[in-house]
Amino acid sequence: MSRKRQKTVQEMEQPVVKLDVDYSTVDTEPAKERPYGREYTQARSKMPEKQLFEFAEYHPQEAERIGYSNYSYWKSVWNNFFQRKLAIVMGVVFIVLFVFTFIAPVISKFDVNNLRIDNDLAFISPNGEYWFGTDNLGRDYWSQVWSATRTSIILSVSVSIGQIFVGVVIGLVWGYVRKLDRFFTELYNFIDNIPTIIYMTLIALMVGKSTFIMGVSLIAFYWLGTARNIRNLVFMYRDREYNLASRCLGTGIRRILVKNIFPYLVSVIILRLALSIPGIIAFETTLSYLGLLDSSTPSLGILLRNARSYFLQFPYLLICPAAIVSLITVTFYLVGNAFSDACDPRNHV
Amino acid sequence: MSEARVQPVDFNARAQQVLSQIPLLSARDVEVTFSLRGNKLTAIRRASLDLYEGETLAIVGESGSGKSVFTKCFVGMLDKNGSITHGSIMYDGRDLTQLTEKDWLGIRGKKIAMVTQDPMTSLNPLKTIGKQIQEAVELHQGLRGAAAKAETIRILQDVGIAEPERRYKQYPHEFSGGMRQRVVIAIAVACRPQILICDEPTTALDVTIQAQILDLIRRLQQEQHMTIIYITHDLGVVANVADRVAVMYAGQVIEVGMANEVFFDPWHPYTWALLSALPQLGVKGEKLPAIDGTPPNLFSKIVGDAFAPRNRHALNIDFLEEPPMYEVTATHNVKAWLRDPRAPKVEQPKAISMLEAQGGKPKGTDPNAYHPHLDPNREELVRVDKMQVTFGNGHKKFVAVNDVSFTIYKGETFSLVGESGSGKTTIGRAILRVNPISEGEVFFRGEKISGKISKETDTKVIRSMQMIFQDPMASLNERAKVDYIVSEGLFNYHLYKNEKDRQEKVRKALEEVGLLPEFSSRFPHEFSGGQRQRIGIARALIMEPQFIVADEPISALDVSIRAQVLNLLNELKKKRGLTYLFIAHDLSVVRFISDRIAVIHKGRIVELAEAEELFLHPLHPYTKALLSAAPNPNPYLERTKKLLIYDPSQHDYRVDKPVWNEILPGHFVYGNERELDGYRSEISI
Amino acid sequence: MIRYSVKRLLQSLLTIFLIVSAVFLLMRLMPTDYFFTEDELMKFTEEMKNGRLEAAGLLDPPFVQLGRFWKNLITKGDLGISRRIQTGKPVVDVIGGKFGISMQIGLISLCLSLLVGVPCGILQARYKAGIFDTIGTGFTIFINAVPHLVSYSLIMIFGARLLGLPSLYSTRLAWKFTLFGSQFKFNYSMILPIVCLSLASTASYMMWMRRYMVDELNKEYIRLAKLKGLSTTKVMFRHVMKNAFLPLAQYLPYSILLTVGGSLLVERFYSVPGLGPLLTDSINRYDTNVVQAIVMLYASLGIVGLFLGDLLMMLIDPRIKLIGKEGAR
Repeated sequence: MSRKRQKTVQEMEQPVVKLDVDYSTVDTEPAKERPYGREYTQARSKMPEKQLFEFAEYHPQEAERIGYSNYSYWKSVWNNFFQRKLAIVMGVVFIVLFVFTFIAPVISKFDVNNLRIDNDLAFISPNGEYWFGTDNLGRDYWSQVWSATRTSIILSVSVSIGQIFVGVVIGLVWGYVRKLDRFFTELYNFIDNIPTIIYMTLIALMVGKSTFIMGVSLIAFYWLGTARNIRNLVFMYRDREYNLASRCLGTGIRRILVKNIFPYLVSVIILRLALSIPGIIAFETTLSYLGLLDSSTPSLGILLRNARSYFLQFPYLLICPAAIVSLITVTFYLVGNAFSDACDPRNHV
Repeated sequence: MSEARVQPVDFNARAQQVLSQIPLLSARDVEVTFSLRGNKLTAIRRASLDLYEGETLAIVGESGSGKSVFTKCFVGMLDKNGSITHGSIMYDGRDLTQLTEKDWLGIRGKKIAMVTQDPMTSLNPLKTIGKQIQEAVELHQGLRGAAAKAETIRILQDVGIAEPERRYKQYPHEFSGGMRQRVVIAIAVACRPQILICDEPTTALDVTIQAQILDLIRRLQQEQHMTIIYITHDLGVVANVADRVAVMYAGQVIEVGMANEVFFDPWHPYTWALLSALPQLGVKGEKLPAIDGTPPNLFSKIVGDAFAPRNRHALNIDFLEEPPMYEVTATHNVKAWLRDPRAPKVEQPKAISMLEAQGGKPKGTDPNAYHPHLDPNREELVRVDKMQVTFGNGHKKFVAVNDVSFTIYKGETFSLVGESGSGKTTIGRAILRVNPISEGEVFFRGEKISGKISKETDTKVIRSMQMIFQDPMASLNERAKVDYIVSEGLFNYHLYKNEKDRQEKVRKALEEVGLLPEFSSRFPHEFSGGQRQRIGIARALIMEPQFIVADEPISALDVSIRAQVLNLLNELKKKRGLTYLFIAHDLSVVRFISDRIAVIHKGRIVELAEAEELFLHPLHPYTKALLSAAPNPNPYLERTKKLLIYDPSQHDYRVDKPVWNEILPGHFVYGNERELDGYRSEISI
Repeated sequence: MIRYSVKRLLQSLLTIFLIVSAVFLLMRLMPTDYFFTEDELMKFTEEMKNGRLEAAGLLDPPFVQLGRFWKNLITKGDLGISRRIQTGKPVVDVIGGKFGISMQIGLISLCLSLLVGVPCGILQARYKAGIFDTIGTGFTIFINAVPHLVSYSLIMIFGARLLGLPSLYSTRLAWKFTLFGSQFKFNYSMILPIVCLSLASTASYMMWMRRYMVDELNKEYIRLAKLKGLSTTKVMFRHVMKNAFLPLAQYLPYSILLTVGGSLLVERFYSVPGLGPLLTDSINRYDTNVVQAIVMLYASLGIVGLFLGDLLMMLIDPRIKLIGKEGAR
């Protein structure tokens, strides 16, 4: 409380104004003609002092306006995302890299599908002729690395998209339909208890080692994690009040899933998509290393495996593919995390 | 039944005390800003406040008024992105705004302690209650080992926890919400502070528990001579605890004075509006004097008086210049241009004078009011017959609703009142078929709608019964536009001829709830709580229902917004002939809006009567306890009220089985023969 | 609690039974040629092969074989004999001879990563957004994102070329030293495998510890603890650390048990004769009995590990008592 003595209100010869408003007759319809906001304030600022102490006109829509926020979720997400410089730079570098995998064979002196094996040319360090040197069989490494990069990116991105698609569809159903929960949960526990490498080895032996088969079987195991993640999120949103409201309005399961729940999962889905790419690339290198992947279409994993026996003497055989693999995986990891942070409303204004 | 008595208070004596002291803590022109991703939010806009030794100062305001942030400055606990950018807080010869984290260790807890809002999350779940209190005892009282333990047990007993030795070893999850709040208070008290800040300590609790906690805080204050700052949005609580009151709006203290001055002779239009909008002062069947709009967005710069745009009595200067503090009396200051000598001389609104005269007792009902249940041609709309709802199965089975029967007639507002966990929401949801019922039946216009029903009946039920939800933040789909949200029901049953027809219907529904039609292309998060609640009402209305379950539709809203929504509900009822099942825990609201009231306790309706009858002649001890605990916004009455505490073990139902009995026409009560006899003799007196 | 534990245990046994049976039946889809060693395949005629198969019961319907497998296992503890990996040796012995080395490397690296990862995570959370936190986060991102094969290779180049450590495992390499009067031997060719193995788990302990700490620090009870007047350091020690470590502790038994299984990639990378590579080897060489045994081992370790974790939580978390978690883990 202020101790400053303000002059107490002087008794002035003024009529006493009664302030009670008859609320039953108050006009609730907003009058659109009157000026409001800044115009209104400016109009008032020109008033003489006497008028300053007169009652102002009352504008209900002005009252509604002051609390209005023009916050938009996705706009904030993008603004927030674009403030994360490192992720943006890495993302741009990745796109350039991916485009370059198509340009590299054009400017290369050697055709990757037509490399000659010549033991005399083995283990040449990078130079003007062989930009990344040659491998143990004397083949140009540059053209191999870029072709492998393209294969790896396409494989991991398509596997990732495939598993996300399957995982999200099944996860939504798993989470929303109570009767199916038990079944899927048991299935999940069952499959999850055996290391994936066992399945992959069995499939490689029984079905085949081609890139396509491996891609399909990777999808077949990766969707599980996604589905469970989605299921847990659906569980979280399922009984929120807005879904109860939809049920009260007679909305069917499909519309609730698509309109009420799916939009909330978009950020998680993108995050999982981004983070599963490094995972799939890593798994692909492991599979290549174990010899479970067909080596006729070289991927970065195959190159890393081939380099295994020689890289202690010839580190460039490791460094070239390793640098590219690291760049790709770290990029997706950073971009995914940056995006997920940007999606968190707590980081918004 | 046990009783607790509250002492009457002499505000004039308190005022003399205040005037004779120098302030214990004195905040001057405090400005607090938060930076949120490049934007600056000014949460406190040069607020000043004094605190005097031994008093209870209540700070009252809506969410976002800055009351909580302001007091956090007194304990140096602002969030990381916030800082005090101007002003000083003098305490004990030191400026609290200049302290380092190390300096704070000598003040926080030791001198100024705080009780936080949510007792469910305020305790470490992995440490025993005893250890958590003992930590404070050891730190501030210098006791160790057995002595510290003994002191802890003494404090536990002191805050009203039975069997303190056993409770000492228990973990927070073994305590109920009210008990946990007692523990939180015990921790604060164990610090032996000079100043205790209570930040909405009872907001998360039921009314009966709230009344007990308020009593406890008052008793502890007297015993330990603490100075208390009590933060709340509830004017009834303010009336209960406060010697002095500070009203905050948009980050400023706009009026401060002794409790009687602020309640009975307020001078800021915002204080007027807050008090007038109390449903306790409303006349049933008439509109409440609501405040339009919402509190301002603090991201933008505020020119003039922040309340001006919502103020029906604003002067032109209110829009241009911020008013200074004017002195009304030596203890009563107000920040409003209306107190300027140049301003027109005014009289306070009528409602304010009524607050003192009637003390929050309603002005009575409109004698011409129509009561549907008394109409001889009354039409039965919804009938619930012996409803039982159970959750879980096997040994984990939990009966949420037990043997509940009632009838709702067309055109009436039927209220269900109970505390959290009483099953009131479950009943509402069970009628709408969202929760399955395990026993009993529900009828709509004589047709059975519970259990297995045909598809046509299902469609009919959905179209004629709708629901309004408690939390406007959670009940709208954030990722859909208002247009979709409102027309969702139309899509489901294709209730429109063409796209143009649908848009027309949406426009009409929005206008009916007082929203602009262009809002339809926006997303829910662009709106304030009151506006969102109106969107929710529009969504239900578009189905043209006859019956609406309103599940605590205003309890999550700010005080200034509540009246808007109550008015809207009443208006719609008149215009459309709607019937409401109104679910609430706040008795003052229920009294204002309902025709009949059912009181529910632990899944069972214990008393049902016409609204005024229930308030004037409550019979069941639980109803009485509930009524006695309801806060009343009149400091004199609130402080002398008799608090009744309900103890379910007072019923002896072992031999004499209780029944649901119509003791007077229209007045039902649950009890056994012996109790009913008692009730009958009570009535005849 | 006992009732719940017994129920969980029975459920776990059922899951193990189903998993092993499924793998058993899958293995029956493989050509029977692999019953024989390479030599025998060349020498034997069709009749001889059939006779052998008949005698071993491999021509019976798969479910009959499955029944016999479980009968032998339960009554005699017999998992059959290895046919190709170590021809003629009982499977139990094959596995028994290998898991010691896996466990040794696994346990050392687990301890290492706990000792490094947990304190680092705590420090990161304590000085959030500081220089140490930034470096730590960069480290965890790199380790988590980049394929292990790459980081292992980098470590090998660094360790072998710069520090001169052996790049292949060998039983003959050992440092001898005396401690507390007794002689110890340490096989220093284990250093690089241990470093590699602990790297990933260190990064994940760091990441999770930091995340849980930050989560806990944002909780309301931390505010109350500070309001009591406790200093930040005391709040960290008395309140935050235990609560943040709890979710990690739940998976400790699982991690400890899984060290038995070894790491496929590390052991193969450094030619460690542990259990890890045995799995792919046995599948690649169609040694069905070994495959079944290993699958059973992995599944049991995993399931028992999680079960022990839940039991542990029941003991140390007062909130969990008698209540079994419903639904998926």
